[in-house]
Amino acid sequence: MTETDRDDIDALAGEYVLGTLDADERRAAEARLSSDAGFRAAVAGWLSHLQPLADTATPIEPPDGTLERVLARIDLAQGVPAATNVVELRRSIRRWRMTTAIVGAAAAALAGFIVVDLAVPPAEQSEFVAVLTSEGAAPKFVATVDVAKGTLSIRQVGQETAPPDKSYELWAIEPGQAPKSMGLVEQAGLSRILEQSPADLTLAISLEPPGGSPTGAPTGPVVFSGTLVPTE
Amino acid sequence: MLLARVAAGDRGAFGVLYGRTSAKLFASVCRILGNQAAAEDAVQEAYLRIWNRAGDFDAGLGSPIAWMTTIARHAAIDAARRGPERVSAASAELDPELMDRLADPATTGDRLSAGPRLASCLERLEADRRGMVLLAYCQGWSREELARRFDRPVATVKTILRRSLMALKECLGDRD
Repeated sequence: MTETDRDDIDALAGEYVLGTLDADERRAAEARLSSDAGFRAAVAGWLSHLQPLADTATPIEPPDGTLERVLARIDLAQGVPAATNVVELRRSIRRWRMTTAIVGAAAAALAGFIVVDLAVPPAEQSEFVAVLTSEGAAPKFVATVDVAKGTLSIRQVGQETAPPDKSYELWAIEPGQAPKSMGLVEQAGLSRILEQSPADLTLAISLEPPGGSPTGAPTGPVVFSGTLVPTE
Repeated sequence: MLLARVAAGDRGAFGVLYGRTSAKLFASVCRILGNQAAAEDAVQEAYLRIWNRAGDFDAGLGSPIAWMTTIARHAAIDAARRGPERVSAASAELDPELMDRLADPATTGDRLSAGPRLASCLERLEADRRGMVLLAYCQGWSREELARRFDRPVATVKTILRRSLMALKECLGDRD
């Protein structure tokens, strides 16, 4: 190995630890970490060299319940039986899986969206849930509607992140209506007043330029979608 | 080792690991993300990644906390990059006491000389270069954000960062 190669490896490893690689570069570096002993050693060196900078941050306890929320997210990702606080959600996911299996073939494309034609009972439900996913993949976002409060909240359950130069924008689509923007979905989630009836409402997330669609209508591909269903 | 037990799916070990490390990781995350809700979500994401990747860690990577810190900082950086650029925000300024704390042997605990040594090598870098390295590490700035803040092309920022890292490494290595 030449000295230049050595320096390149070190510089890449340094930028990996520093955090300045873009998303693609970081993914490539992580793949290399498991296959290239020289690169792994270079990363180990930087982890040790730069760690004193992390030590300069005064420790802060995360809020109570953080560990429990992490464990619930692990449960959700693994699909194991629920902890109590996610029972509702899990039931909804099962239900969603069933209905998706039943009506999957009936899915119709409307304005580029996957709209699942789902018969939702018009009962007075207090809560609705939607699991947003890309076709056949694991759930990526979970949306809940609190009917009493008239709010819609959405949270991320997967590790999916929007490409660095894109934003995730959430759309609510009533049957036969144009999609209405519900705002950008950041990692911390999103909470909004819901003006539409949650019954039959489809939620979709599209990839948009940073800051959202410039036109007020979706301009990028729909990456995740799902339909609200009542929880029991 | 805790991480090996976590890799085997041991939730008790994960709880112990969380108890020992969460205040430190949350500190790094909060420094990158000014927003409390975003920081709380990022630290959850960090522990989710630690759970998922615990099997990737081995002693060849050094100390577990440094590896976990990097996972947490990356999770925070991912969240920050989904938000607006922060160049004009108040966060554009580094904590003025940062270098003093770094140079204080008490800060780095059992690795007494590591902080002062890094501090003196950072001091040797030209001020803008030092600022770029510190903003990237401590506040999670991207090359693009650094390019705007320091009014340089992105490609130049990348070159500067890499040269600065090489200079740091040479300086740190000289004293081994």
